[in-house]
Amino acid sequence: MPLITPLPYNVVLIIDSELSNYEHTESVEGQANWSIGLGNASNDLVTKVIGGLFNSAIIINNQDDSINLDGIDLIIYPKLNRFEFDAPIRGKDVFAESWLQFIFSAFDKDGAPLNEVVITGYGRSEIFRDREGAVNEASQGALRDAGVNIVSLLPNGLDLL
Amino acid sequence: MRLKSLVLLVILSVIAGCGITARVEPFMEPGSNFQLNQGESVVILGRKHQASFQTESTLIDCIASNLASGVNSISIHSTKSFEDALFPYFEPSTAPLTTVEFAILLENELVFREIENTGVRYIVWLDGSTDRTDSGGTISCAAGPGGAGCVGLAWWEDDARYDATVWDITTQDSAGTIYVDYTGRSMIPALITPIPLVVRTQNAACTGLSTQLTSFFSQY
Repeated sequence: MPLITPLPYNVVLIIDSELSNYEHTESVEGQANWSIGLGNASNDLVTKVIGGLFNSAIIINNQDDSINLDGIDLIIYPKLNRFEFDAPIRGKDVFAESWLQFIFSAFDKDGAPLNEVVITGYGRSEIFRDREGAVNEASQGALRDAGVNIVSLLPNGLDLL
Repeated sequence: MRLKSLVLLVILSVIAGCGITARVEPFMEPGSNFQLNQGESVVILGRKHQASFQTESTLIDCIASNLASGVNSISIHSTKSFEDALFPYFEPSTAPLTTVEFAILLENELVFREIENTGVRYIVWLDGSTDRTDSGGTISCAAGPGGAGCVGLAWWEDDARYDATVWDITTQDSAGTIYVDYTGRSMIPALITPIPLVVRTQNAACTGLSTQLTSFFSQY
């Protein structure tokens, strides 16, 4: 949970399977195929950060889930839109880097769209011997950085301040 | 006989060229009390910044491990759990970069109260990094039907420069600082077989900082 004073809003957070099962696969020339699972970590991050950012957050796993919307101010639907990484084999750049982009869509309790906010995150980690470990650490760093940006940018982006 | 002496002379001068130059400057603020009461602990934090240098996590782990072991061991709080509890104030994009910024952060009531909840009494704030400052030389290797071998000399110089500031949470002020600067020169002489003579500069800085920090805390 972020260490902040929660905003006085009650929200519904939609964490669908697209986010909680997110996996990035990529073939990099001269390297093995990469498969990076970000679903659990993204789910955990968004749930904790949104849970601490607002007065209350009810989590549902599907847009079609029936739920009592009395007292709800906002519905938030996050999507992990893009993920990129770099883990150079040679050269002076000895860092693995990860970058990701979330899109947070907000709706009122009748389902009418309100706003969309783009949240990015960047992480890097020094490569010693373990390249996979460095990419993993950089990706964790990118998620944490996105968490910082959710706290600092999302309320303003949704006109809640 | 002459050839043997010459080879010995070369080996000795190569070994003499390797080594570490150390400079350590500990400073304890007058009247500082480094006493840890029951349930209180120390956390080691490093400078974090994505766009420029950041203090290596390996150094933080090394110092934490050294302080937590030995005869004068002290209670160390996990850096990761401290950063999690204080999220998002110690992330690379938000962490204080100077001791002045750090003092301002401690004025935040939420942050201060959470630090108290963790039981952390002292924060050791590390600022610095280990950098390659110079390198040179060449090694040539060749292989043929009669065998293979290398000839030459390669060398490099690392500089480990760190400031460790110890913050007392109860007084919200610096209790002391330690400045260390270790310069290490490593070499790989090759006469048929390359022999790496590697100086671990960051490890030396870790030992130096750990020794000084232990002496701060073991006085009381």
